[in-house]
Amino acid sequence: MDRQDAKAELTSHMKVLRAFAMSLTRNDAAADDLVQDTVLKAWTNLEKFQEGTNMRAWLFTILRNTFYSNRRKAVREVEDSSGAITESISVKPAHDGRLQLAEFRRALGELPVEQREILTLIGVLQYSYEEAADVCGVKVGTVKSRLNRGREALTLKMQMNSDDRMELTDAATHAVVAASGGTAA
Amino acid sequence: MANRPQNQPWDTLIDENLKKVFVEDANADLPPHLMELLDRLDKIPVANGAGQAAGMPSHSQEEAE
Repeated sequence: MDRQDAKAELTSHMKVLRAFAMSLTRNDAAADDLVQDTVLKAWTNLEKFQEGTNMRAWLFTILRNTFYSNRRKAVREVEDSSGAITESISVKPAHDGRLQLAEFRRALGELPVEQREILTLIGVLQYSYEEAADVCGVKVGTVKSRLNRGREALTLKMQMNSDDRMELTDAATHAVVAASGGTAA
Repeated sequence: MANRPQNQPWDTLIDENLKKVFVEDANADLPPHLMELLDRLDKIPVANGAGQAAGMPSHSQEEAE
């Protein structure tokens, strides 16, 4: 493949590649490092890319392989130290969309990375089970299992947040009613 | 025909939020050092095809469950 064409295509995938890296690391700096490593590996091994095939899928595969390889090397390192701390700061439930999305991000960050990865590939990038299995190098059954477990965990967290909101709303209503000396109808 | 997941109501909500998170991340500006990396790609020496760089796709990438 012509290097300039390859560079142009690689450049066009950079932002999606970084978003995929974020879905794995949940940490800006780690995602940037991962993208940098991926781009360097892709560029220096470009002759291994089969022209006419999906470059984005190839880049995703390099990125995730690099991520898991690094993770295996750093088993003693605390995952996402800065991001986890930042995201663990309690955000009070609110009806504001951005705060609700922040809650969702936090819940997503608490899932095992293997589940986040599958949720992203299937839920966001619309991969089929087979395509996700191919990218992740696992069986289709494993993909389904990770997807179901990820969705169940997120559903549980979202239901809990929803219940919290109801309780807060009820408490606020009671407080207003009590302060005004009235009774709830 | 590709085997695609069937969504339940909560799944739809989850997928919508997943998309919002991903789009937010994908719309973020690339940091300067990644832009610089792209600029200097042409100057980076390329492999001669020998050996296997860590992380490069191979036929034995199955992750342990």
